Amino acid sequence: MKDSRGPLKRVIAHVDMNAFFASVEQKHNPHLKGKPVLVCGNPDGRSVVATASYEARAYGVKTGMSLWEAKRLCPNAVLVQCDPEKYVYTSMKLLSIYKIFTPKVEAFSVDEAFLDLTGTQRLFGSPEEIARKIKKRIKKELGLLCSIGIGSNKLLAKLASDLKKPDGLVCLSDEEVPQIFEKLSVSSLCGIGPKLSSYLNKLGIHTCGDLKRYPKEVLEKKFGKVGLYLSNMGKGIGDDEVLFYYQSEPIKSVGHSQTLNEDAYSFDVIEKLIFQLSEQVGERLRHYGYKGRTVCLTLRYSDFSTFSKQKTLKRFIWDGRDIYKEAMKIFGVLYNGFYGIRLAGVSVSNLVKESFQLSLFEKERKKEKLLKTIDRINQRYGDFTITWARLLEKSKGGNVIPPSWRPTKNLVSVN
Amino acid sequence: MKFSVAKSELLQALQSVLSVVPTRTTLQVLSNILLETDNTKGVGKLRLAATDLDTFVIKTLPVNVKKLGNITIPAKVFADIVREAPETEIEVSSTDTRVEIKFGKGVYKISGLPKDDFPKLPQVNLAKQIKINGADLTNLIRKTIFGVSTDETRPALNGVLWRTKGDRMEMVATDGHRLAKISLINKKLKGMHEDVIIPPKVLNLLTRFIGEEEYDVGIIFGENNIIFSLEDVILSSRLIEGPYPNFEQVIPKDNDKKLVADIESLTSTVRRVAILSNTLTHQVKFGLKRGAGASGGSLELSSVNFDLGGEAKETIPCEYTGEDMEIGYNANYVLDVLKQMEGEKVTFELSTSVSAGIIYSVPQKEGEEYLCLLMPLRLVE
Repeated sequence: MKDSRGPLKRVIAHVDMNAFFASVEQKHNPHLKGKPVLVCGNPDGRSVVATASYEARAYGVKTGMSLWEAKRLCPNAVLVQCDPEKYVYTSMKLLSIYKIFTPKVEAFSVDEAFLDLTGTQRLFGSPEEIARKIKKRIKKELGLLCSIGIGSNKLLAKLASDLKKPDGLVCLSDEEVPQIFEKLSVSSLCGIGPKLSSYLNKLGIHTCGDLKRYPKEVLEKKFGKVGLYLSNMGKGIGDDEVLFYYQSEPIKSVGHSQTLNEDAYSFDVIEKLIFQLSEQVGERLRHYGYKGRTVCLTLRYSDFSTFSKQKTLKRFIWDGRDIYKEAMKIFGVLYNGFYGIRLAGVSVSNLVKESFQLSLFEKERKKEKLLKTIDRINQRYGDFTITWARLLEKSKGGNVIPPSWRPTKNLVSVN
Repeated sequence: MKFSVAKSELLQALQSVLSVVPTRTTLQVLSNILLETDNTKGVGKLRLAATDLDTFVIKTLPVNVKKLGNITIPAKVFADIVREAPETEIEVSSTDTRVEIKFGKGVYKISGLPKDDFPKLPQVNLAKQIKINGADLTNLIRKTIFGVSTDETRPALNGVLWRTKGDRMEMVATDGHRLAKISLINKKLKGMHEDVIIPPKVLNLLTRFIGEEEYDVGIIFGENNIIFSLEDVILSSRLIEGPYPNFEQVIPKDNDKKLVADIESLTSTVRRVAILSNTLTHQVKFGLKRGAGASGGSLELSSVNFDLGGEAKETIPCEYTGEDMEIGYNANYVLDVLKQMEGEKVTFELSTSVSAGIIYSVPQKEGEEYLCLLMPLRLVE
């Protein structure tokens, strides 16, 4: 028997909503029920599938597929424009359900959350029972399905939730880990993306078993601290805490990117897109109360090759126009002047929060006031209600929630 | 061209021009220095010149001229050779594009470029020069230059403003967050008609050349450049185009709260507390508490660094009679200002926690008015 006062074994659950955007749309519009639904940024444009309903997935449609390709596979699919407000609202509802069971709920994205269930068993029963209760409530109150994975850390919980979809419930015990991990591809671990996994493959690391056996020292030399983290991941070990719902990871950068409806060759179009993205980044920086001094521009060409370049300034900025000026300087160096541009992204990092150096000159202070006033108007009447004349005809692109989405403080209180 | 000179003298002269040679340049010849011999009135002289196109430096030193001529050669390599040479006489001779450096039994040869490839040296008409006391000039520069902006979005702020106003000569620098202004009374510079904005690079060089010596410096104002002429050095720089912002307007007139503190103890305390300040903002909070009478107030300096989980707090006595107030400053800006303050005490004239404070030392140096403005950081709890 374990000493009852000893540390409790951690129990982490990962809730992953099944085909979230599509299911929400189907729930809201009964006509869509049972039909293949594709949620996308812009049905008329050249966007990609943000979520496909399970009916559509049966035809082979996958998230991230171009609409053109998806329609070829599933000609009778119903296209629905992404409606972020609806999803954020539902996401808040979900959070309030999770919070019944534990205060340690970390919204990992708009449709995923980690729950730390350590020490809640006496109140609500075994982890499986709690998971069933959560699934039941979500189904009853919101009419949605989810997959829940349970494990002794976030890594395992996330992995477990991926094992059975839709409507799954998988508990991964520590004893099973070595056997499962032996054959598991490294790319199935959360945190190992395509770039890192192809790099690991080059080192001869294909499965988590390979990763576990790879000398820790070599990984540390190659990746620094991350190397040790990777080595642990190979063993299924992870000690990342689940954050409380009111905590959030400190924001490290703020960025926006957009795919154009057609490849742009005209300087005018590209410049305008960069201006618009810069304005969006500026608005969000001000919303969070940050200024940054590193500006990064990303360009994806028509052949999908992608390039980024960044520039660090001596001053901190949050005015979209300043961001735009710096982004255009980078553009001058980065753009090969030849290929069409498919996507552009602007981001700002190296952030400081709210403790800003004030300016001696009235003109500069007035500029800040003007920005804040514009923001207040746009917050009330919608983005780009008031904007620079240059952006009156804003480029239309996806209206998709980025993976970096997290509930903001004032949203958390929605119940 | 052929001359000989003692190693130490050549090296010293070389080092003084080397800092103008750009480290990276698209114009090959700019990484060269120009060597030119002169024998006017039977006095043998070597002219060394370097430029980055904005700034020119021309240094003259007496040498034993054996043959007149000129050439440009890679500055860094030439300096390296001279630096490593033994303490002896060095002989330098050149053909059209090659230089031979001889000392003891060593012979070093490097390729150069003809003088024609080198940018044209500025015309110096010494008859037009105005004289100014060297010590006054360095005083003006040292007390303002730290405030110059390095942000290229507002070019006018990338230089020091120099002007004559009434019976005063003034220098001003600001980066939009802080400002330094010094006026020398009854030191009007005759012949200076317009305000000029001078890049800090040439002013830094100038203070180095003047050093602690007490001699006059000649100044020639050109169309869009300024020339400083010293005993054996000519410095020239382009001027920055104005207009300079109206800085008089930002100097507050009704700051009613007065803080007086000991310069030395304030400086050392800010420096200590700043160790645990945010590494990006360098924020140090000034907590002012009023005293019963003229003295007896207190100043609490504090900082927080979340990355380190660090916090620092230290209190020093001060004179303060205004209402209690908290105000945040960038510690580096405060230290820059305090470093220039002479005398024992420093005064901060303040109004609110989001408006500019005026900082000056008491008593002021005779014949001089010096003040700095410092804009606070917005404090957020």
